[in-house]
Amino acid sequence: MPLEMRSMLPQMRSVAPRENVEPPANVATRGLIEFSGLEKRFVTRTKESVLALTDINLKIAEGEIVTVVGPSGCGKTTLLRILAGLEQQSSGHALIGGRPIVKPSPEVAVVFQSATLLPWYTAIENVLLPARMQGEVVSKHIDRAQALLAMTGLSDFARKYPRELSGGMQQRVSICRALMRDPRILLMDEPFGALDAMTRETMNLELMRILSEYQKTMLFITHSIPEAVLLGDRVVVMSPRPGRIVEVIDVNLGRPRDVNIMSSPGFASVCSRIRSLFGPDIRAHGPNF
Amino acid sequence: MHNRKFQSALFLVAVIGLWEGVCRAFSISKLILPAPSAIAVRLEDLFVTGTIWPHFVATLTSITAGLTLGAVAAVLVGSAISLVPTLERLIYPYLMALQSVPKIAIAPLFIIWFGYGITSKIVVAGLMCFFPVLVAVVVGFHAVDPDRLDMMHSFGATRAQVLLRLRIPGALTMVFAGLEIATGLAVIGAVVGEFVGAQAGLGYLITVLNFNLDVAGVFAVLVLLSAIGMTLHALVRIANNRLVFWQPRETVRLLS
Repeated sequence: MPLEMRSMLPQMRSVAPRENVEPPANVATRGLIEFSGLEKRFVTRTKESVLALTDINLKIAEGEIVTVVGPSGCGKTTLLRILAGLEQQSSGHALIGGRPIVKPSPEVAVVFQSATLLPWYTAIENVLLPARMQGEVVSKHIDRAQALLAMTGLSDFARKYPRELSGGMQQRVSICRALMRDPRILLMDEPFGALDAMTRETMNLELMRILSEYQKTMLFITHSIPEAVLLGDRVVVMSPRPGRIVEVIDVNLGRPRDVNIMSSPGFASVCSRIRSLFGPDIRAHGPNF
Repeated sequence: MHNRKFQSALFLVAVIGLWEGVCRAFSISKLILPAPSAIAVRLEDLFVTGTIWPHFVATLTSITAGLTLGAVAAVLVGSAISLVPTLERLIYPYLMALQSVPKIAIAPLFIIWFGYGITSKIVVAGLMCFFPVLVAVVVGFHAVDPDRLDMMHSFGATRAQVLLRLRIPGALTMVFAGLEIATGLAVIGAVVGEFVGAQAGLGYLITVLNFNLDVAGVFAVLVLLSAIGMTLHALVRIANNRLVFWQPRETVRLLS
């Protein structure tokens, strides 16, 4: 059904299903998430083939926070969708825990750019949604949902409907929803992009607090360099047309981090290093560079 | 808000006053444009003598039965079409072509098929209601936010879960917009059916009164018909605000 398609790529559809591939034999240095030689092509309505991602090789270890930064059209969202099982690569491997990704898994949870809450459910019902999809909701689910909402400071808003919540609160509910099934991997697709700068900073700090509490592996996509550096253990820098990894930069700033770190020289030097990877022409395409 | 309602009520009073004044001042023949007071007297008359009741009941029955049957059929067909892509490809274009046939023009046929009784009126009213609701259902089912659909899929939702938790509640807004349009059409359908051939009903009463040059009487029946239409419309709106509480009706625009 054409109307169901991803709004960002309305004119495209997936190319032939992924070839049946065996995972690579060498398992010695395997990460929790592993991409090797990954490629993704789309076919436009005019039957042109567009290379969205090419030659993606990346390993992410358990508990690691990896941020992906790059201008629009660099395929970072496609990368996340492949990990989430919402999209299949055209060739190469995408593995979680050594197994190829064929469909969405309860081990992986996604926080989308918009909060995507269902307006006909209250905040707590929205948080319970993933549990409801796995079967009956019992009291332990409700307890967990309440604990998650409490952790994000939303206890008083559990019975409110999404339209009664601010943008930041809505995105917090959607983070709670993602944590509901206690996934190993958290995928975030520019979750704070629509929020104002102040709220965004608060949300970044809160996210780091949540992650230190719950110990998740996270892939966080953004087009803000400071956000990528603040959150990430490593920053994956991508460039567009075709989307590929330019460099992976280690952020050795220690943890826990707070806003003050953003004014440290170490922070500034990582940011300027990333900025220098984007030539003037690429800088012109992406906001926040 | 209160002030605005008061203003529009005041405007109505002013228009009626002007109408009354003009009729009296120029002593306009009541065969052409009866004064509001004459219409009111005639309306009271119709109720006091009890002449109106069998007609009122007949028309109200046709309207409500037509609206209910038409809407239920549209929801069923619309859901089937939306959920089975093959059906949509096969049937939907023809349904749309059928929609362009003026239902009023086929009313005489329905009289032949279903007789002079109430059945033919219910069928005309139902058919009038069917299409706007059908379109609303199909559009509503398709107007799913792709991000929400991704969200559901990422949590491993089954087809049934997507339908129950996302598509159906999401379509309700549109369905109600279609129903609102349908209420007006149900009134038209029933009255047209009665115009073409009937033994009772407000439409039939209008033709009789018109034949007797009782223009004030015709206006009185018209007042009653719009009262029925407005009441139904208000009922649909109330149901909408109860059921689709997350989206107040004012923010939705369909076919306007």
